[in-house]
Amino acid sequence: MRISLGWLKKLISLSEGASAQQIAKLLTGLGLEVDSTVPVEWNCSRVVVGQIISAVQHSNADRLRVCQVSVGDRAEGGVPLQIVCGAPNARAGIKVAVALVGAKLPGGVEIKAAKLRGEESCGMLCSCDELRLNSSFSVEHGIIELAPDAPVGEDLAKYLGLPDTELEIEFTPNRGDCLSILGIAREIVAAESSVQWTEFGKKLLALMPPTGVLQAHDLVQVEVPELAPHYCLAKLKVNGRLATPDWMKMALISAGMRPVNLLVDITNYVMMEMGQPLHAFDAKKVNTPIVVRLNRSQETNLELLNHQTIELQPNSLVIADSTGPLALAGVMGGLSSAVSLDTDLIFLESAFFQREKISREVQGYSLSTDSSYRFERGVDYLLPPLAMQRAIDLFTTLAEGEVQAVQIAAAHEHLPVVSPFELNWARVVDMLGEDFVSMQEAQAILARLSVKVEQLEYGRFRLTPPSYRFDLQIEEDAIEEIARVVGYNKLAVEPIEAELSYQHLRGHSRDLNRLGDRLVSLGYSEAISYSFVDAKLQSQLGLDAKQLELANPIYHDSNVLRCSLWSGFLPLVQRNLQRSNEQLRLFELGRVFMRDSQAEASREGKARIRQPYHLAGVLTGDYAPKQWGEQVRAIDLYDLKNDLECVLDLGEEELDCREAALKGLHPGRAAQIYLKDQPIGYLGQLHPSLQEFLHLKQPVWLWEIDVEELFKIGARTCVNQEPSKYPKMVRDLALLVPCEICWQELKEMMRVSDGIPLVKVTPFDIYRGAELPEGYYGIAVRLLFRSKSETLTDQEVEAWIAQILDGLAQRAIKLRQ
Amino acid sequence: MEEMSLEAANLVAVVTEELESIDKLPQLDVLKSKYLGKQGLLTDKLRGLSSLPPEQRSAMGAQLNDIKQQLFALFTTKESAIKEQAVIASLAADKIDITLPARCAMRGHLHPISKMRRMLEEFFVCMGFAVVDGPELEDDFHNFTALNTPPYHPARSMHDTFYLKDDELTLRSQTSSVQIRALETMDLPLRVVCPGRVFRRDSDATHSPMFHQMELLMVDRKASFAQLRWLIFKFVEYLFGADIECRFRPSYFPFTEPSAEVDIKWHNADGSARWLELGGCGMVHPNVLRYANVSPKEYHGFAFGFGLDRLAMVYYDISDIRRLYENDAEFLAQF
Repeated sequence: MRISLGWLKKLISLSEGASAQQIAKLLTGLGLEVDSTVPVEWNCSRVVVGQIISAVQHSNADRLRVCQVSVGDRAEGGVPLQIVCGAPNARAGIKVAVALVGAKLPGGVEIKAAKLRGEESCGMLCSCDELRLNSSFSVEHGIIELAPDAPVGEDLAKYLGLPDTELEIEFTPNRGDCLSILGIAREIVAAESSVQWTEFGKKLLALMPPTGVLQAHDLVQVEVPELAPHYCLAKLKVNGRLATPDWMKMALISAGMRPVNLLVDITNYVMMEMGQPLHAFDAKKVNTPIVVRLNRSQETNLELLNHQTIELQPNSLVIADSTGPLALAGVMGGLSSAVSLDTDLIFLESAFFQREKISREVQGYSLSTDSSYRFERGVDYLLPPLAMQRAIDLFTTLAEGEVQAVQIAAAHEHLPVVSPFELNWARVVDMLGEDFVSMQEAQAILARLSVKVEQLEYGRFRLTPPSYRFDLQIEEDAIEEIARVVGYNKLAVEPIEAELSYQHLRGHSRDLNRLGDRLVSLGYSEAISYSFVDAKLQSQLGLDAKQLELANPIYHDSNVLRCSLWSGFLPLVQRNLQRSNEQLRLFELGRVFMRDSQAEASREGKARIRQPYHLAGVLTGDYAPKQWGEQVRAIDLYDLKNDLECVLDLGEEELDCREAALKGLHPGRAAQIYLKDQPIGYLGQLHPSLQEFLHLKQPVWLWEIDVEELFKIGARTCVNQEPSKYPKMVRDLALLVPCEICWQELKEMMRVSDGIPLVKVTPFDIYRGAELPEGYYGIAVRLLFRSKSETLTDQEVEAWIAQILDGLAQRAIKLRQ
Repeated sequence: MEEMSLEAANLVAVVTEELESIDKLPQLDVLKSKYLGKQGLLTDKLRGLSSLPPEQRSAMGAQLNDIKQQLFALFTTKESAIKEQAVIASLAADKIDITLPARCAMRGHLHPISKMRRMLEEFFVCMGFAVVDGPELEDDFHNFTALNTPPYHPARSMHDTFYLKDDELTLRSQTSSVQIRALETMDLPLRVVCPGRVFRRDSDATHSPMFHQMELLMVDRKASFAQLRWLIFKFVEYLFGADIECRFRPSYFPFTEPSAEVDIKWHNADGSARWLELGGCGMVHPNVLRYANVSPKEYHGFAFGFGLDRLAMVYYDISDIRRLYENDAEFLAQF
C-alpha cells in the first residue's frame, strides 16, 4: 500500500525536519516494512491558480484561443493576463494552472512573453504532462481543470500540497488495522512520544455514530447476522454532478487510486483515511428493502463494477434487493446499482463482515479488491458507524449531502469477542532478556498502543486490546508489542546453554553427503532439477503407471511429479548438447514421488504415496576429454559399473548386474542392479529410438538407485582376514567360449571345487573374429592361486588347471591353440 | 737417490696434468693402473726401495708412501667428479615439460546450492543441531494448519501452493513443515536444522517455482529470543565475517510470536550498500507446540528459516535464479 507523507501530516504533527527516510526507518522498525520512498517532485516555480474570464477564437489560427485569465490580486499587478492557448478544453469559467512569465517548468522550459500569430501571450495554461503531475489528476488531452473552489492567485504547489513523498509499505497479514492513514498514524504516535495528533486527527478519533431522529428500521434486513454482525446503511440525498475537490484527488492519487467521480471518490477516501471499506448504491436503481443474505439460486449472474460477470455460487454472501443480488458483500458492488454523475440519492453501506467468509469468497471467485483485502485481514468491528459519520460529513460538505435515514444493525452476540489475557513480567524477561526496558516503560508502551493494562499483582497484568487489534490474543503477542516499540535491535543477546548432543550422527544426511562426495570424485557434477516433469516424457520412459499429477502446474510440460530422476535429466542433456557441452557426467540426489501399488491394494484401500530419495547419473560423450597421451574412447556400461561399485562402496566386490527390460533403455544394454540380492536400481543405455525422438546426437547412459533401499540394506560390514604370507601363483589361459555363455557363468564354472585356493579370476582380453570357430568368442583369463597355509607348487597348480579345464570342456569350452 | 726422489715428487704434477683431459671412467682406470697398478710406475719405485741402502730406505719409503696417498686422492676425487657429471647428464635427459596439462578424465563439482547447504550444515552441526529431513509432498496439516495457519487464514495467500490432482496433498511451500515432523518424532529437548526443496507457483529472475530453504528449530525448557539473536549473529559472522551489519525487524509468521525478519547490510561490488533479507525467525507460537502435543507451559522454542538459493546467489554473485536450475555444465564447473 502507498501512503503520502502529506496525508499523514493532516492527522499527526510530524516535525518539519522529519524526513521521509526517518519515517520509513521508524515504520520498518515497527514491522511495517517500507519498501521504498518515492518523492513526488515539484520542479516548477511561478505556477499559480487562475481562472479563464473569456476565451475567444484566435483570428489567425483555427486551433488557438485567446484567453483572458485572472490570476488574482497579488500576481502581475492584479490585471488579467492574455494567454494564447491551444487546448480544446480552454473555455471561460474554468480554474486553471497558469505558468506566469518567468516561470520555470520541468525539463528546463522557461516561460517568456511572446506573440503567437500576432496575439500577445503572457504566460501558459498548463497540462498535467507539462507540470509532471499524475495524468489522472485532470482530463487527458488538454489543460488542467482545477476544482471550482480553487483560490485564484494561490501558488499551485501550495494548493496541491506538493512536493510530497509517498511511502510504499508492505504489510504483513496480521496488521489489517494499519491499512489506513489513521492506522499508520496510530502506530507512529504510539512509538514516538514526541508525535501528537493534530486537531483534525483528534476530531477523527472522536467521531460518534450518526444519531438523532433519522434512525430507521426498514432500510435493511440482515438475514445472516453471524456473517454481517455490524451493518450500517444510510440514505442520502446527494448531487453526483459536483466535482471532486483537488485535495481529495491528490490524496487518492497518492494512494495509487484513480479519481472517478465525487461519490465514489468520497467512499474511497474514507476507506484510505480510516480503513473502513464503504459502498454507495444508487438508491433509484434499488428496490428496497436491502437484504444481506446468502445467495439462493445458483444460476444468478452478477455483473460487477469492473464489468466482469460472475456466476454466483449458492451460499455466497450478497447484498440484494427485492429483485436479486446487487453486490458480492465485502468484495465488489454490482454494475446495475452503481452510482454515476446522474445519481442524486444513495444508499451508503458501512459494514463489518466475518473475515473467514470474505476469504472464502476471495478464493472462490479468485477476486481480490481493496475492500476484500481489508475485510480478510480484519476491519475494526466498531468502526462502521464512525466511518459512516465521516463519510456523511464529507457528503454534506462536498456533495450537497442530506441524510434522510440511517439504520445501524448490530448483532452484538456475533461480534468478535475481545478477550483479556494475562502478561507476566517474568515471561517477558525470560524471552527477551533483562535490562532493555523497565516494567513501567513496558506498561506505558502497551497503554500507548491503546491496550488496557490492569495490574493484578506485582509483575502480573491483565491486558485488554483495542477492538482493531485482532492480532493481540496471547501473552506472546503482547511481548512482541513491547519488543517492537522498544526496537528489536536494542534487545538482549544471550548465548545458548544446552545439553550436548550427537543426534546429527543418527540421521542420513551425512550418508547422503558422502554419496555426493564419491560421485564428485568420480567426475560427476551435481545437477538440481525440478521435481515436476513432463508426463509424456515420463511415460516414454515407461514410468507413467505410478506418476502423480499436479492440479495446478506452472507450465504445461511440468504437470506430473517425477517418479524417476531420469525424466528430469533428459531435458538437461538436451539443453547441454544444444550449448555444445558434449561431454556430460551429471548426478542428482533427490526425492521421487510415486503411488505405492502394493500399499494401494492393502486392507486400508487408501492410496499410499512413497517419496524416497533416489540417486541417479547421466553420462554422454567420451570417457575423457581429447587430450595428449590418452586414446579417445566413448563411455560404456562398464564405466557405469565401476562408478556404481565406488558409490555403493562395494570394496573389492563386483556389482551384481542382472538382465532387465525397461521401456526407456536399450534392450541389449540394460541391467537391474542388485545389492545383497535386493533390487536397488537400473543402469543402461537410453533406448536409441527415444534418443532419436529427443534429438540427442549421441548415446546417453543412465543409472539410478533407490537410496532408501540402499540404506535399508545397510553398510558393508568389514571383518579383517589376515593376509596370506605365502607367494601367489598366476596362470593365464586363452579360452574359446560358446557365445551364449556370459562371463558371470564362465567365472562360476571355473570355481570347480572349494579345495582349490583360486583367489581371483580376471578377464584381460576379449576378442571376436572370423578366424574363430563359428558361435565362439575368445577370452584370455588370469587365474590367481594363493594358499593361506603353504607355498603352492607348480605341480599342484597344473593339476588344478587341468581339473578346471575338464569342467569347462563339459560346456564345450576349450583351450585356444 | 737424489734423482729418484726428484722424479717421484714430479709424479703428482704429471698425474694432475694428465687427469685434466680425462672425462670417462675407463680412461681413468687406464691412467690409474699406469701409476698404481701392479706394473705401475709408482709400484715399481716402491719395489725398488729394497735396493737402496738401509739408511736411505726409511726416508725414501715415507716420501713414496706420501706420494701414493696423494695420487689415490687425486684419482678418487676425479672418479666422483666423473660420476657426478654422469648423474647430472642423466637427469638433464630425463627432463619433461611440467607445464603440459594434467591427464584427466572428468572433474566433478557440487552444485552451488549444495555447497552453500553443506557450509551451513557444518555450522549448525558444530552448534549441536541435528540435520533432519521431511517429506516434500506434504499434507495440509503439516504445511499449514499445524503451523497455526488454518484454512482461509490470510497468511495462506502469502504462498501460491502446488496441489496434487487426485490426492489431498501439497508440495510443501516451506520447510517449516519439518518443525512439526521433528516435534512429533524426536525427543525433547531438540535442536534441528532441515534443509530442503520447497515449491511455490512463481517464476521470474528472482523467483523459481522450486527453491531451497533451511529451517532451524530449537525446543527446550529455556529457549529465548535473546538466544535466537545470539545464534543468528554467530551464523552471520560465520558466513560473512564479523564486520557485517545485521538487523532484526518485526514481522509476522503465523507460527512464531514474536516474529522477526533478519537483514544484512550487503555491499555491492560498486561500493553501494543495501539491506538484504536473510530470512525470518521468531519464538515458536504456543499453538504450534500444542498441535505437536508439546506443552507450551513446559517448553519454549525458536525457529529460523531462510532461503538457500538467495544466499548462494549473493555468495557466488549469481544474478538470475534460473541459472541454478538450468544445470549448464559450464556453469556447474565453476563451483
